[in-house]
Amino acid sequence: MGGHLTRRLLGSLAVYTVLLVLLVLALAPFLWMISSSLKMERELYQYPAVWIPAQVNWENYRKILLGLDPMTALFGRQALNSLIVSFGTSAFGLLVGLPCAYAFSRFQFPGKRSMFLAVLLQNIFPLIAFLLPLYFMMGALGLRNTYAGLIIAYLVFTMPLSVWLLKGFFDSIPPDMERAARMDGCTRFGAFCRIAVPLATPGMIATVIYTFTIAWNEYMYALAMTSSANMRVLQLGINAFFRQETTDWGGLMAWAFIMSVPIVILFGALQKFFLRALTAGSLKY
Amino acid sequence: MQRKGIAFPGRRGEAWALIWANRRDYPYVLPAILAISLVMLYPLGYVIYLSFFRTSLFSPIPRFDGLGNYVRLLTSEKFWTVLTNTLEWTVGATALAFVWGLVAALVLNQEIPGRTALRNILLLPYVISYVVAGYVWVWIFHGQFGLANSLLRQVGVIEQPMQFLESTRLVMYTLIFTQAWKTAPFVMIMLTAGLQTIPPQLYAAARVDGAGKWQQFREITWPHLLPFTTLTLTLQTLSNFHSFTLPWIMTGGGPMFRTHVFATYIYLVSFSELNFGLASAAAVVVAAVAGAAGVFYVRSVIRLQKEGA
Repeated sequence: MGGHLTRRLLGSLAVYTVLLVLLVLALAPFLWMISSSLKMERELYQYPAVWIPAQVNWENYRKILLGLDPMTALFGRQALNSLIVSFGTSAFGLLVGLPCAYAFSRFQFPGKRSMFLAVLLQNIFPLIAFLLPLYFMMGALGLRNTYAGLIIAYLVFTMPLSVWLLKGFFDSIPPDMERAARMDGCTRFGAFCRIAVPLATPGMIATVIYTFTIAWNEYMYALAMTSSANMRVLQLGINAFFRQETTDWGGLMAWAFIMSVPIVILFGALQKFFLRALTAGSLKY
Repeated sequence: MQRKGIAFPGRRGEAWALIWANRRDYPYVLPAILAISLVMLYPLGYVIYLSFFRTSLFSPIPRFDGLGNYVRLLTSEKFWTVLTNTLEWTVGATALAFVWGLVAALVLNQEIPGRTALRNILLLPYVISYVVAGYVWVWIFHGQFGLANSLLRQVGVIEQPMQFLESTRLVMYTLIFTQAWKTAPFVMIMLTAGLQTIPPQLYAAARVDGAGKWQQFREITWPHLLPFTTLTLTLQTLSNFHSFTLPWIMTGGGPMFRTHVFATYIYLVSFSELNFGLASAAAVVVAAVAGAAGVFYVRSVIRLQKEGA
């Protein structure tokens, strides 16, 4: 019996040790980012590394949020760009994906299977393969350096994702309510709008959070499609801290922190929806 | 089926009748189909078309060149360097993230107080952007003032700072580690979803039969996880194979092309060298390879669907 207990204790000791290592690995970079953003310049380059600054220096946050430095003057504008593009992307993805997901879930029509496969394309082919044609297309349409250009290009990943996530949610709603509404003289489209869509609200929230996050974090398409500093999003604006000879690491870390805050808050507040989207998006095919 | 339809006009008429009967379904999918055609099918066709044309900085008007771009691509040394880099990166990052995520999923499947909160903390690296992850780790791996060097020197493992991102010998491992750090949470979430499908009674029964922890893992956990494992590995392999941002941010493909992967290479050829034809040919080759791998993906998806997950 004693041996059994010792073994169990050792077992849980191992579990907690592994857990501790995992937590340190996950968190240390974030703590280091915050610590670096609050240090005086000289502490940034000290050996041994300083975790807690002797004196908290808010200068990096001040210069970014107030746009004091010529390097950070565009922060407000770029934050707005990020918000507009991310909201636009998730709203557009929802608008296009919702009826399609509903049809995939409820109707049987010729060609449904091949349309399914077309949606799978995005997961298989690399985003880089679509980039060059999209770049030319946006150029021809005069949509480079515009919000619309990025929002349309982001359909590449938001549309399939929205369709798949929402289809899963419609599948989990029994069609009885819509049938009853049809009996009462509601049109097919009316039943979709007034009955099915409101019932799918949790699914819509999950979808919007997921696509918003992806659009907020996206880098490659934004890099190719926007050349004017005024139209760049936050993920690109961070490059301002690389100057000819030196890199402003404190400022860079502060910008990285600010840029992550909305996403982390969104995730923290709605993590249930987020996880549902994450697993459903991959498993529900 | 459809090919037969063409051979027998009667069948064909039937198909059209079926489509006509369901005509009111199509407006629902029309916007999505238009979107797919606009941003996926058309670009895919265009990139194939463009791959047969020669373009360069000096002759901006595309000239038909047959398979010229493919020949130039496959005979260039850079292509093969990039191919080996990409394979090394894909296999390394996928394997490391898988082990990392599996361990995390198993540990957090135990009865531990505050399990959900801990899981959320472990998810943080996945939630933030590749840009943030990339720059934070570039700073940590700084060859002079980085945290990694400071810690290793303090412990006494090294005397001189290590050039994590500048040494051609080390840099690929540095990037693979960072990518695994960023993507392990995804593996954890997927495998956690898998672990939750295992009925706890199975473990209770195994314990009654006197099975040890390792035996329980081998006989119960692993077989139940297998479909989830296949799917997760396929998704991770594809997404690592396609990745752009982390190598682009951390090294820009350097030093000496050591960390150029397909996506960064195609981007470089497109937007720095402005060789659109060659870039398109490379994109087609990559898409073809990915498409072949995608067959596994579709298969594992179908298998999982059959299992009723």
